Amino acid sequence: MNQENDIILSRLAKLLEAESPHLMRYASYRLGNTENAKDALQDVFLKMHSRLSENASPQVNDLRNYLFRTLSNLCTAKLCEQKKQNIVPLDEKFDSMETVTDDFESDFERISMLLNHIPDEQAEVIRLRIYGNNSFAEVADILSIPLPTVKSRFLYGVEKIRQGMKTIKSTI
Amino acid sequence: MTCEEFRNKVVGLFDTTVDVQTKADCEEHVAKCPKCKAYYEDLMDTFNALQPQVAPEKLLESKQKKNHHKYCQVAAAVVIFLVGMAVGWSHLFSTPASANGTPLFSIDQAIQCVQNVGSFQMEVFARTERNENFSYFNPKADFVKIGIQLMRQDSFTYYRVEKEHGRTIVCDGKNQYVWTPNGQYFKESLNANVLESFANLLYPERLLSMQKSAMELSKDNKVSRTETDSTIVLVTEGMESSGDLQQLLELGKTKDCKVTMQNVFSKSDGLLRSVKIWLIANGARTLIVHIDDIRYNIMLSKNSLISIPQIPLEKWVHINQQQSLSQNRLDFLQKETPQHLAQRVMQALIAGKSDQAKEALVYYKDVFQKLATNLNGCKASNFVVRKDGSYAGVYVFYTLTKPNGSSEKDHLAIRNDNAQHIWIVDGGL
Repeated sequence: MNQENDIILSRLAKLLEAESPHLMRYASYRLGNTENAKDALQDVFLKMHSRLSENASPQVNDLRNYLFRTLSNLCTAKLCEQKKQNIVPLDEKFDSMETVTDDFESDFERISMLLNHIPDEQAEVIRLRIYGNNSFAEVADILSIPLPTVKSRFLYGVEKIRQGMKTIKSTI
Repeated sequence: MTCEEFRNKVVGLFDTTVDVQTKADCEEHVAKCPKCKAYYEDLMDTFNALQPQVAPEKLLESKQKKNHHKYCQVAAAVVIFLVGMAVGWSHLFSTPASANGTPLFSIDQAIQCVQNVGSFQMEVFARTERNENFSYFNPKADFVKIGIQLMRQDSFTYYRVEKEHGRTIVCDGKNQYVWTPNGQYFKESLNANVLESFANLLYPERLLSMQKSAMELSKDNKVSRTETDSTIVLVTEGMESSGDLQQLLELGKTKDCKVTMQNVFSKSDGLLRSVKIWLIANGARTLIVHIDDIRYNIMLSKNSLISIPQIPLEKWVHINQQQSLSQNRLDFLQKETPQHLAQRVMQALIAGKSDQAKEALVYYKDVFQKLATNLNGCKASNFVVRKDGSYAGVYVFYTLTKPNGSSEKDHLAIRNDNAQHIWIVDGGL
């Protein structure tokens, strides 16, 4: 490992310490399980660590965004692997947004119910913004898409969820 | 701003930092356009609905269920990582509020609901002195409006506390800034208790925790619960003079009072929405604090929240900054009694000679001439020292006789808990 990689690794360790709440929250609400989220974070760290150990210095402009990008890709892979992307029918208790939740599983279910009714690219922007605490500009960098696209995906996603909530409320 | 422009810009209000100008333009537009206002409120409701509602403690419990690690290599690095993660764990889910509206709603649940909110804003109306610090409530004083805004972001807490026509305190996450309308500017560390007893109001969870302690302290302290269609009301009553409710308010002056607090929570999210505090003494029940509408997880502009007066940096001084004094002068000032100091201060003010009490009036040097003009021709007499349990210093009461012969009772608040142990006027003028 060269000296430059050492420096990046040190920055990575500090960044993980500072950002772990947001990374963990994002991964938890993406994967629906805190243990899986913890594993995902370990995987991300190990992946980045081995890249730095084995290869020349990677070209990383923003380590934080790189970290989120790696985590986002890893979560997608995990979900595909585990086939955990369950679609909940729209007519299934949409009003649960106002119900009491005191554990992660039910809260995840509640939020999944809201996010599962919009295209995944919109849901991913919302997850990175809210649970990852990323700005729209950071989300654009993480997903490698233009900033206006991030903003429109976020807005359309939120609008669509709202419409769904209103529709269901009016039919209950 | 047109409706179309508003629709193009509104998404910016949901970013991590909000442009002040955009916010102002949008606010101006929604104030006069009901359609866009409804649209914005819809978006905000949905945004709030998407916030996670699980408290960190709950997650810690679930964390214990399973503990397997697939990798043994680079074990040391993983350990470092996990330590870092554990440090950050307590900040997990920092924005949500755990909702609870069940019949078993308790103070514990209420605390859990408010302690994880990302931001809140409220106006506190308290019977206190407008021109004083934040050390005490005064049942005989009029209500003073105190605006409080607080925001938590990235492990930092930012707040702004503004006493109407009085002093303002701003915390930018690193320092606390205090300034007064008469031009005093102080900069203190995060640990300095510049908010004094009003710090209890800055954190609703602390207000509730102290009530809970009071309930646990004595069987005589009791809590009652009622509910309406949309609210749950918890009323706590402190029945003993030395109970925690009294400590909560830090009212040294009201040793024989009982305290009643009414906490109203909304059923939909379990959040504390309004508070009333009464003091009961000699058969009289006096409302001393009311907070009518606490708003949570609202959009606050960090820049506006932590903005401070633009003055040269050297003007921001530490409250206890040491003054340059000769040893003789220091000896004299340290041995001086509070009563003597008060007499000297009033003489200096009435005579308009700042040199006679410049060390004691260090916080008032910019307004000395104005004070002196107001007191020109007056006489101060009958100086009496009174110690107050809630105040770090002492009060010196005196009679001020005006040139027209009328007189009134006034006081100086002075303290010597500074590095040089000299008496300094802290309030009253």
